[in-house]
Amino acid sequence: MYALIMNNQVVDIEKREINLSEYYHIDLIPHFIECDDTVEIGDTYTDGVFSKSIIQEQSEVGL
Amino acid sequence: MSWAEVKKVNSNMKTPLNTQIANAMYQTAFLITTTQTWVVPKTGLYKIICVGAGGSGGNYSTQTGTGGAGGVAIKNIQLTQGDSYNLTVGSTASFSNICSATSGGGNSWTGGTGGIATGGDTNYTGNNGNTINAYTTVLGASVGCFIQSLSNFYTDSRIYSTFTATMRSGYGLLGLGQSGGAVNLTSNTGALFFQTSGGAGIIIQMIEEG
Repeated sequence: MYALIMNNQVVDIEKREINLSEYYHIDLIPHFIECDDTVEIGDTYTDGVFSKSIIQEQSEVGL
Repeated sequence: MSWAEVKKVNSNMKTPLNTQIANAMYQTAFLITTTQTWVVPKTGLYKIICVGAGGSGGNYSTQTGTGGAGGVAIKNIQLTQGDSYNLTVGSTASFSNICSATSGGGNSWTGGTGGIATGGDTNYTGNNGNTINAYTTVLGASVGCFIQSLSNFYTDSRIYSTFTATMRSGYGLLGLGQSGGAVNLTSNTGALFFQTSGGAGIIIQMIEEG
């Protein structure tokens, strides 16, 4: 499972067991980081660590 | 051929020539909104347009900014009948490893970052989202295409009603990357809001056969 990271944010999750280089342009490959199934779109990725967005957590409370 | 001759030819055809051309064009354009293996139907020159999804829009409770627009990659490429390609449509839109466009970011105080595009003859980076102020009942939305921007929409909460139908999570061609999370205020005190983002997708169109 891989997270696609842009600007320290998870913008997509790739759950398929695939060779990424056959499915995505080569320039995107370095942006994929292996992750576990707790990671979600919108999470942040800083210094090698995934963390839940504070905004996202507040959103859930607010809703 | 003169117009009179075209009309004469058309009159002798069960299906008029212009209708046949229109049908042929329609049949050689494909809108891809799901992940799939796509088989080239006819050898020819194709235009591939990958559109990343829009980032999540802001909402009332968190005062977050608008989502970033998805990137857009456009590429002309010669394809051979029978060849198959892995197409990915999630938040990202990717035509095999040939060209890809990522979604915009969301859940940001100051607006999500626009998505990027790679591999295209032309690559557009999505617009960044913007900061919003929830307490003025002006809420954010995202937009998933470089063509549109919501930068002015939230300056007047009344404007949203005009765009609700087109700015909600996208369906079909119009929704491809163009729609974003919309805001639908039900009254001055209560609000419903959508955090959906514009859908990603891929347009494949044959532009020259053979």
